[in-house]
Amino acid sequence: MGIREKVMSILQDILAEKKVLLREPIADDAILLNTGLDSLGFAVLVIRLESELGFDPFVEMKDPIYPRTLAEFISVYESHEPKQSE
Amino acid sequence: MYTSLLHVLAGTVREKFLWISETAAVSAAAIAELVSGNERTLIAGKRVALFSRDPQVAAVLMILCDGAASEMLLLPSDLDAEGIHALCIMAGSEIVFADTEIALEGIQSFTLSIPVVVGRRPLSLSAVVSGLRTIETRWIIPTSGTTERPKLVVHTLASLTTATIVSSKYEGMIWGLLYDVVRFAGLQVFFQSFMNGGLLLMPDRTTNIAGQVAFLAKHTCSALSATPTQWRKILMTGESQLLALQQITLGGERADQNILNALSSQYPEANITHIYASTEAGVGFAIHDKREGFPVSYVQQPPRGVEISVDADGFLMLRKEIHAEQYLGESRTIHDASGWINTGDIVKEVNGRFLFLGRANGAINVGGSKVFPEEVESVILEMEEIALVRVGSKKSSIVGEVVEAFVVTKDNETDFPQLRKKIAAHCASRLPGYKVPAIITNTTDIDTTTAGKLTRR
Repeated sequence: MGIREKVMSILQDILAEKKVLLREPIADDAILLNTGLDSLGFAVLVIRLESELGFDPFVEMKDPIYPRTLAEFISVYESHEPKQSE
Repeated sequence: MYTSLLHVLAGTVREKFLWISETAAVSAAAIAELVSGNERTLIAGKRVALFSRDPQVAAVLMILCDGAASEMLLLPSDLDAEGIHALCIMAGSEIVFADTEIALEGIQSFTLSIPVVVGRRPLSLSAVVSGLRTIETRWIIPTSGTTERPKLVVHTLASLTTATIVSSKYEGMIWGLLYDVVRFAGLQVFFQSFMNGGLLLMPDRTTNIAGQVAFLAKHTCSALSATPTQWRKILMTGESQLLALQQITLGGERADQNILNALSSQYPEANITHIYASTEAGVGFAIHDKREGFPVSYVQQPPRGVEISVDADGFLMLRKEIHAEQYLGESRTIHDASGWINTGDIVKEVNGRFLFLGRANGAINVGGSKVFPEEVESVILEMEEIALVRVGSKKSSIVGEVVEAFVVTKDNETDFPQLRKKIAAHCASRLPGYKVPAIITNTTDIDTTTAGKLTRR
């Protein structure tokens, strides 16, 4: 599973736990805080992604950015992914 | 004679309005009108409790009561009727002032709305204030939510304003209020704007953060205080680009280097200050160098008005000349015999800085809200599938800390992913969201998994 799929799957789990009903799939330009995710939900998303992917891009950022949209969020993860040695 | 908030108000040059919210604005004339009414006589020498969901009414009430009431209990705006009642009983309140009807047995209650002055010449505040008799009012501030009942900390106007700076550099500053005005952090913003004669913007805290930021930007807010978690949220809104800030303040939880960097890159012109404070000790100190933690040199050369020390176990200790003396109804003082206050926070030296590790009693700070592990543990233990549970904190790059639970199940054959959902759902039905574990891990041995964490007493 790639980063995008992991993000989408965990995001949907968290929204389901929060009993947020999605009328349509979350688009790339959706503002994260408007998806029904509050800052606590956002924190849970980042922590669960860390346990699945093994890194948290918001811990050691050279150029700190707090993403607004889903696409920005995914790109933060993609650009901070540790290089595979194999 | 005691110099009350009314005297301060009469003596400061004012903007047209003191406060602006999305629905109303309050001028000094409205306050003069109110003070000359009979409410002030009503509360003279009495123990009064204040409750308002509208921050403007709460602010008016504080000004009305300071100098008149013997004690003023500040009730947080998120309390329900039961919570209001419990605190009023604890404080022995005789009168409750509220912006809604509150019926409490044995306590007089009044509702207050802000008078509107139209069609005639407004009263002069200085005329109303001259000849006013005042007493030093005790300000009673509840500590934030714990498993048990909150404690009531006894403050004075002097102990609440030790960190308030009146300076010409704040002239024309427009302040924004994102906190509950009657809580300690909100009071700091309130006093800072009030004492400097500046305008305070009060966005509707029940709307989303983007809307609040848009309101602040529309009214050209230049000084804003928020928790690191709130700041991360603010930076996630597009509206944050509309803010032209000169002063940025962070408080209520540990400020990490990332949020300090992110703020200084988005607002390169602004002063950025993070504050160490608690309801008991008041404001400890402020750090202005845009780096996390505080310099070790503060122990030898403390910032203004406060002595700082770190004991052998890493406890941060403060000594201040003026601070809250005690909890209401308890005779013991908040400080020890030599005047030191143990903050309960543990720090560690790293490269010439003291960094904050957490609370010694294991309390978890989730975006500024306190969680006691024992409460979450007892809720999880209500489930028959669970044999043992240990709750602790896990660092979060977004909200500072989150709740983490380690559980040992009675039957190891249990489908754990299914049980995890059940535990989360059970916690969610019994606890507010910030207390629900963000991570639930199955384990067979509680002790080893929690080794290395802070000792909980």
